[in-house]
Amino acid sequence: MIPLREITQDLFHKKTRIILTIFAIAWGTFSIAITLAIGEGLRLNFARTMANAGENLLTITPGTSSNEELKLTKRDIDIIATLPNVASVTPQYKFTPQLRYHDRIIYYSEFYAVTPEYATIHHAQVRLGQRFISAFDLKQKNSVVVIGTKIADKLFAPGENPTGEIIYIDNRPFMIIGVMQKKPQMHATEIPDDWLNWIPASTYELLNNPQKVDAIEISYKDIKMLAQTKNTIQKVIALNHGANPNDANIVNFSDLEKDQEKTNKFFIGMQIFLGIIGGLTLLIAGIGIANVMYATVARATRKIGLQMALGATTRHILAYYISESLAATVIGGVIGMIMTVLAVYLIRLIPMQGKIIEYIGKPEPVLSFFVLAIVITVLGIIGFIAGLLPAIKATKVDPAEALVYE
Amino acid sequence: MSEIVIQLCNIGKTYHTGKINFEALRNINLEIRRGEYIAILGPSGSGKSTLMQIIGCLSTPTIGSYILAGKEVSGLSGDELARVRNYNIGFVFQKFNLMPQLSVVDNVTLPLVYRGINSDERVRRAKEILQQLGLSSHFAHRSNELSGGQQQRVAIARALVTDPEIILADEPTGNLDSKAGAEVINLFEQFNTQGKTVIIITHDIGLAKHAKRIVEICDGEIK
Repeated sequence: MIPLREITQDLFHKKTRIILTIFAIAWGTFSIAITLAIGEGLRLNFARTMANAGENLLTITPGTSSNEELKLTKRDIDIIATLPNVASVTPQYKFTPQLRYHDRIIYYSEFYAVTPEYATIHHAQVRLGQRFISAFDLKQKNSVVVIGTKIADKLFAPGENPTGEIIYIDNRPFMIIGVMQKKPQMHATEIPDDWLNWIPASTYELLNNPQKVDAIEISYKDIKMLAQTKNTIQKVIALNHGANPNDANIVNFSDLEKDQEKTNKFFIGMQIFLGIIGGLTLLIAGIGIANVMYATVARATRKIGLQMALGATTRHILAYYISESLAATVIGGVIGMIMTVLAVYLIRLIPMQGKIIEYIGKPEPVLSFFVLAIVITVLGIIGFIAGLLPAIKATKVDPAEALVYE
Repeated sequence: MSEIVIQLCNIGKTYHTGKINFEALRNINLEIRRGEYIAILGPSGSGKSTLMQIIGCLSTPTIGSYILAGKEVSGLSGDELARVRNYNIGFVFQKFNLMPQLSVVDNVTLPLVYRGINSDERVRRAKEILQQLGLSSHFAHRSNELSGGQQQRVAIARALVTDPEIILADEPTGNLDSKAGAEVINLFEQFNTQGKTVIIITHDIGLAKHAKRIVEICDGEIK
C-alpha cells in the first residue's frame, strides 16, 4: 500500500550512514547465523558419533557384594536376556594379548570376546564382503577374529587383503574374517572401535576357562522403561549371587543416554550463548537503525506534516517509518545471510584432519530450519522495534506547526 | 442560495507558550456556501494563517463550533481530522510542499494512498488530472526538476485528485513570478466555475480581488 520506491529513496537520503547501518545489520546477521550454524553442526555431529558408540546401550559391570567383587556369570546373562525390555545381550571378556602376523608384532592389543549380538548393539559394521562373528562361530567355538581398522593398517600393507589371513593371538592361530569399518565415535569410557579386535566369546571360554564375565552389554527397547529394567537386573543378579536384592552396589550401570542428554544440554547451552553474542551484535545494529530513523524523522517534520495534511493517519505514519526500518533490516539481513551461506560453503571446503576429528567426526556448520527461523525472528523483531520508536515520534508531529515553520 | 459548507461560530484560538497566552483568533463567525470563491485577506500576524489551519482542519479551535459539510469537526481526534482533510479539502501551499525525491505522478497520487485506493487506479486518476493541467509531458520527472509554475500546478493536481469539496490555498502565488501566478489564478477561477468552493488566504490585495468575496482579518478578528 505504501509506495516502496518512496521508502527506499527516503532511506538512502543519508547514504553513508544508512550504508554503514546496513553493514552492521549484515554483520550481526552473519555472526548470529554462522555461530548458530556451527553450534548446530557440532551438536548434530556429536549426536551422530554418540549413536555410533551404541544407541540404547546399557553396560553392566560388576560391583561389590560383602566387600568382595561380584563375579558376573553366564547364568546372569541368560536371565537378563529373558527380561522384557532387553533387545540383545552380549557378554564381554576383555584381554590384551600379543598379536603377530609373520614378523609384524603388536605387543598389547585390546580384545573383546563377544557374541554376534555385539554388532547390533554397537552398530558395528565390517568392510564390504566381510563378516562379523556369527552364531555358527559361537557354536563351533571357531578361532576367528575381526580386527579394527588401525590394527589392519599396522599389520598389513595398503592393498593387502587381511581376510582369510592367519594371525597369532598369544601364539594361537586365528583366521581374520573381517575388518571393522572406520567410524567416528565418541564414548569417554571406551576405546575407539578402530583399535579394537573381537573374537567369539565361546572360543575365549574354551581357551581360558574364565571365572567371570568382565561386562554385560545390553540394548534396551524403551528408554522410558530403563530405570525399571536396571532395577530388575540388579535384583535378579543379587538373587543369583545370594546377595541383598536392595543393595545398589552389586552392579554398576553405565548408559549413554545420560551422557547424551548431558552433551545435548551442553550444546544447546553453547548455542544459546553464541546466539546471545550474535543477538547483541544485531541489537547494536538495531540501535544504529533506530538512530538513523530518529534522524530521518527529525529532518522530515515538514514532510510528515504534509503527509498528515494530505490525510495520513497514525497508522499510515507508523507503517511508513516501520517499513523503512524493516527495509533496511531486510537488505542487511539478506546480505548477512548470503555471507553466511558463502562462509558455510567455505568452511566445508577446509580439509580437517587429526586425532580429534577421528574421535568426533568433521564438524560442519549446518544452516538448519531452526537456525534460519531464529535469525529471521530476531531480525524481524529488531527491525520492527528500531522503526517503531521513531515512528511513534513521527506521529506526534503537529501538522499545523510543521507546515508553518521551517 | 446553495448550501453552507463551512460554518464557523464564535471560534477562538489561544496559544499557550510558557506562561504567556496569545490569542490568535477571537470571536470568528464565518459562513461559506458551496461554490463560493472567497479570499481571506490580512497582513502577516493578523491570524489568517491560524484561521486557514482551522478551516483546513490542521488544528482545532480552543473554543467555538466548526461545522464542515454538515458535520461538527471541532472536537475530532487527529486521525478523524486526517480523514476529513483527505475527503473534503485540497491544500495548495505557498511553497508547493511537493516531495522532491518523488516523481510528479507519485506526488499527485499521495492523497489517494491514504484513502486506500489501489495503485493502478491512483496512477490513472493522477495522470488524468495532470493532463488537464497541461503536465502530460512531465509524468516521470522529479518535482524538483520543474519550474515554480509547473510545481505549483503539480501541487494543484494533488489537491484536486481526491475531488474535494473545498480548495484551500495559502498564498498560492507567493513564490511565483507574475506570469505563473496569473496562470494559477486562472486555474482557480476555472475550478470555481466548475463548482468547487475556493478559499484563498493572502496578504495581497491584488490576488484577493480575483475572488468574488473578500473577508478581511485583522488582529485575530474579522472586520
